[in-house]
Amino acid sequence: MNPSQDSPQGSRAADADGRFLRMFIQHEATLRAYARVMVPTWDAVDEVIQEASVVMWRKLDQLDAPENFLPWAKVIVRFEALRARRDFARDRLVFSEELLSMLADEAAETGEDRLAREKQALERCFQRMQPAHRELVLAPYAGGGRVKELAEQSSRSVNSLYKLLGRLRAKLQSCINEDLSRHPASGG
Amino acid sequence: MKNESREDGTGPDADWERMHRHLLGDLTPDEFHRLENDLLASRQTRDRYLQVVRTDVALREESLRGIDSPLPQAPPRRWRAASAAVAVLALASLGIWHASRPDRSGTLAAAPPGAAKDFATLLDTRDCHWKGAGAMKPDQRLSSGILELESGVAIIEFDGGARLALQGPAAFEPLGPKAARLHRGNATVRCDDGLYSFSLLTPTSTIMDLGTEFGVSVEADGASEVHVLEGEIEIAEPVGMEHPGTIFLAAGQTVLLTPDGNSRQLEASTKTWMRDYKTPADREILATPPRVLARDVFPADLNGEKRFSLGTGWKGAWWQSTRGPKGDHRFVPLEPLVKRDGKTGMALLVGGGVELRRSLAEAIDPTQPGTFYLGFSLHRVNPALRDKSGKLGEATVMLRNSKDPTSRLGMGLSGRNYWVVTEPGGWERSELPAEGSGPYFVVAKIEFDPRRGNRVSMAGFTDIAAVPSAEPAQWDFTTRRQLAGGSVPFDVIAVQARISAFKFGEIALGNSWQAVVNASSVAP
Repeated sequence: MNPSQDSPQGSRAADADGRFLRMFIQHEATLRAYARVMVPTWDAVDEVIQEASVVMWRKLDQLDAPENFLPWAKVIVRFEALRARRDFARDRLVFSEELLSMLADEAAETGEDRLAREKQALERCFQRMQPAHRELVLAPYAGGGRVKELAEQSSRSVNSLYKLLGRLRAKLQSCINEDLSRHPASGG
Repeated sequence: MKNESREDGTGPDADWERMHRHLLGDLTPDEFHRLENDLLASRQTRDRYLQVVRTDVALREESLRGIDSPLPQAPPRRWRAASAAVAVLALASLGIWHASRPDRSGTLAAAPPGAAKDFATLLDTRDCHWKGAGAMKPDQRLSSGILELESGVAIIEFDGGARLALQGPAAFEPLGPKAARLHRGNATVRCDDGLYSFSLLTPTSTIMDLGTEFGVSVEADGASEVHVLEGEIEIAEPVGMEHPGTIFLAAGQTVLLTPDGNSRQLEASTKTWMRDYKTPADREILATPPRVLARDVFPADLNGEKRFSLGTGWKGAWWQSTRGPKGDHRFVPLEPLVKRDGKTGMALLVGGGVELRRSLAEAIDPTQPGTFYLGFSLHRVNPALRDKSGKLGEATVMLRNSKDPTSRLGMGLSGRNYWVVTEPGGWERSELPAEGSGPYFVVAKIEFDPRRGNRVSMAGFTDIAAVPSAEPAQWDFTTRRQLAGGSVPFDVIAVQARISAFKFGEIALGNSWQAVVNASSVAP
């Protein structure tokens, strides 16, 4: 047993830690997706989520009910993302706070049904892509070295592969929308 | 190249493209500010952007699927200007930059003994008249040097995988296993092997395949018409141009490239394109009645007698032919396979393989080029029940070399609607779909080609009536993998099954597909 759990206070703290972890893990993917709307890279998403998770853990006693965790956590993520934006703005192009706030507000309006349908459409469209195209589309998430590796394999510049990547992703997006129009939401 | 639609075009995909390029960190400052203004001005644009972000999130999840710990993320990227120097390096690495200086000797490109390495094969000549040389024969290897075809059609296969049909009169120059230059005349290129697996240079541009079929016609003054027959291509300016640009063309699109560097899109192609890349061997195969190699047929009655079975039971994997001696365990044990991330995986761990080659009525020699089809059913697993747990996991066709256990190329489909592939780099399995049933009848197409490498493709059918009696012109393969040429030949063809732990199941082999293969002496 953890020594901190020997006392009633320690036990309560451990319970709180466990409660926080369960809620955080349950909603982590949603919070990352929410952060992605506001920060420019996945590296930055990791930083923001890390900072936000510390804040959440510290302020957990302000959460009134577990079912309110997600909206409460989103507020913290949003605050951390906008704070991080000021750092990112020093050396890269980032959207204005005004635009990020609009995007953050509107991102929360998308219904669960729409999200699920988009995901199914993406899976269908992704499977229809040529294997080489699929590999390239996923390459940026596997580290910068993977795109470079593919560029070397195909005797192309990294820049030209990124150009193709943008195009392939655009086609994927068009496919998703066509798929969504073919599979309208059921039950109105 | 002055084409208004290529970079900041206003086509249906252009808006999606700039948003995705933004998320990839690939927008120029001007493009970025235009995007920001558009987003501020329009709720509809913001909705589209949020959808693009959701796609980015889903793609990242897909990339992390099956990986326990997140991969390191790409370092922040700033936009990069197009670099002609990089393109020069890329071409140099292909061996094009040096070799593309025209050899005006007028000699044919057949490789003399001791000459530069050859990298292409003349597969077929149809009424060909060549300038300045004697007859060129099929199977002749080609290296760099200009070919002048006065009339007829020549089919050339490059070691990189592309097939090219050259229509005379034409002047053509192979440059490397993945590149050639068309000085004048018409050529069509088919390349199924992925991105940038072939580049065709013209006097004004470089046309790069993105998994495609395309035609190019070059006039005497250097003007070129480029038409995409299937898939997509990328056209790049010559690297020496002051402002090199890029055009992407999709199937059905045609562009005219003028000698002065301009381009314009045409409503339709003005040319007739040769799309028959068949070799004499291909034609012979098509003309030959199919010979049946496998022993069994798809069972009409799923509960009837099975003549050839493979499965796993309480005591391990087994194989037997009910028509021959029972218990004929020609069983190929399989070692645990390693997943792509380096871990030993569970898939394909349970079960075993049967050395199928020896069970065929005729032997197959994988050192000889040939194609055969293997049909089998996921038998004993009632279609109505096969989605339930405990039934057949997956059935895989596996090619291996008996002397090199690391060599393998396997592919399988599951009755539970997912596919699995094993390759030298490890195995990979698609996500188990939430819904839908998988195929009940599976046909594997196995292509042996010692020069280009071996390939396995697989298609699944839910109903036996849907299994065609010959390969369709357009076959929508569920999965396809190819190992590059130069690898050791596969001399073991195993059918292998994996069954959910401790449950009984089996597969039955069928031969409703013909086997077309150059059989030779393989020890019985």
